Amino acid sequence: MSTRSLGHDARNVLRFFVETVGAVVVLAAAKFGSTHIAAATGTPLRILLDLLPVPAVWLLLFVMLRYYWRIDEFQRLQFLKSVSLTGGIMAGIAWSWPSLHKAFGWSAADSGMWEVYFSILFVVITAILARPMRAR
Amino acid sequence: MRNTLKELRAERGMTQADLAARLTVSRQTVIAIETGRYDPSLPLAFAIAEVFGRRIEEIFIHKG
Repeated sequence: MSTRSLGHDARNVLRFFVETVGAVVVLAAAKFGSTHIAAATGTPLRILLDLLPVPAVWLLLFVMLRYYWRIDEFQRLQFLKSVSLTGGIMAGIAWSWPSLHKAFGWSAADSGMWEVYFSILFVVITAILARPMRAR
Repeated sequence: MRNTLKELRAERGMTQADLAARLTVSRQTVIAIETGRYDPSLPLAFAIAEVFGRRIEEIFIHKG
């Protein structure tokens, strides 16, 4: 029973990372396609390219929610910590960037990619918080 | 809050994984409770008390 339980925990976390990383890759590809593929304004192709990131963003949200409903109360707390830490860090960077840009002339961040940066940072923070704990 | 979960589990020869399976939580959660890093919700505390046939206040002791 113990091996199965351990395996279940590990499988759950692994499944989350595979699904989330997959969703992030889809989102990054959709954003890249949307911004880098040339198409004239107003054409059906342009509209399609502009809409490309929408399902990718919702796919990521769906993957996150699916994981949330699968986990127990302590893991949910860790998950919410990941979301709030990621949101806080991203807000800090986004809000301080214009001042840094003005002061040091740093090139402006591609603000159209914030959701990709957010999801990458979210995966990293979740991985840190979900690392196996050792009993004291 | 401190608790006697580790001692109770050891008395019964249960592993953390066994207890996790009984409580339908992850082993990570059992470890977090045992090490005092996480205080369980009331429903989970009741479930733990039921597993060990004790009252909640016999397992979870308020430090203050």
